[in-house]
Amino acid sequence: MNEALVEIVRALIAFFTLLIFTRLLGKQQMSQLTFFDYVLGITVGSIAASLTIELTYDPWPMWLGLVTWILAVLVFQLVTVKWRYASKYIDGEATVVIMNGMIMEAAMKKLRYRISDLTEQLRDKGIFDISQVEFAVLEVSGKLSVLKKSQYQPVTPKDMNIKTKYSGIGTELIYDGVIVEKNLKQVNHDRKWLYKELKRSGINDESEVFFATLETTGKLYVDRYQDHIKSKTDISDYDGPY
Amino acid sequence: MKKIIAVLIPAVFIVFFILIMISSSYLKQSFREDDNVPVIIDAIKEDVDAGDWSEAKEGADELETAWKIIMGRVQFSAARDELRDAKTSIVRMKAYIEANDRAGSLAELNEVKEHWTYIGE
Repeated sequence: MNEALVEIVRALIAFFTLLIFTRLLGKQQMSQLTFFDYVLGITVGSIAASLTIELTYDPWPMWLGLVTWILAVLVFQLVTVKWRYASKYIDGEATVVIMNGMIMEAAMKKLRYRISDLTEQLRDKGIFDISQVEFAVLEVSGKLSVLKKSQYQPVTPKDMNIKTKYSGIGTELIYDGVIVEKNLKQVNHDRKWLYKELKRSGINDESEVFFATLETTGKLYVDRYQDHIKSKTDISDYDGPY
Repeated sequence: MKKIIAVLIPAVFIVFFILIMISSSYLKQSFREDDNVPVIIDAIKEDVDAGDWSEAKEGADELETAWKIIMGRVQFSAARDELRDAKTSIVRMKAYIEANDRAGSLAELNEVKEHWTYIGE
């Protein structure tokens, strides 16, 4: 019995099982995770680790345990998507902690949420004066969403009646020296047009380009491999090497 | 087609993993002449009962070889302790046979058989 080999095989099983099933669970971001999701992640990770190194147990029951946890999450996700009440019951609800500039002490007490927590999260949002806040909502994920009083909100072009051009998402045309044909077609252009545009920037071949996108304004953004920077900005405050 | 492949690849992986993990109950069975653990155990038991200690000794060596083969096959799906405990029992059984101890030999033989039965259950 080769223990190292057994561990490698078990590790691969745990790794790909987690990869496949977490992909199945979806794209919920870390920042959106509830406390339950967080604990769940730790539990699932712990079972996967045990599956890898606890050779004293059969792998099959441990794998079943792992899959059962993941499937339970999947079932809960489906239930909460389909049934709003279940969603509220399981995940909880966002709570208003500042309403019309007034701190909701009762709601905060219920959440065991301290004033120091509130001020800390406000500072994290760049707000050091609590009187600037009109509404603050403590989300299910524990993050604080803040609406400032109208007099403290930044002026937008709309407020100033300034017309702005549409700005959407740029389309990648060259990535790592290779033209992305699908995207080029999507923006109704061809290689001939692209080469012409690159020539304008003094580039003869796409292999010189690391990254190029077509902005919604029609402008082509090009970044070459060779950046020709004469004086580099060094943000480090400590001489290496490290 | 791409969609089918995208679903099929993880599904094949999962099925493959399951097969690896539940394979021990199949892989512990005999596939050749020298790896039939229950048959060898029964033969040793008969030898021990008959007091044929030299035959029992040969049988014990056969059992040790058979167990090594089985261990190699089921190592990815069986618990390590189960395999190790059975190996220890075989070693102890050999000592009992050497000492011509009937009770000890039979006890260890039964334990090996029990370990063999537990694999994959």
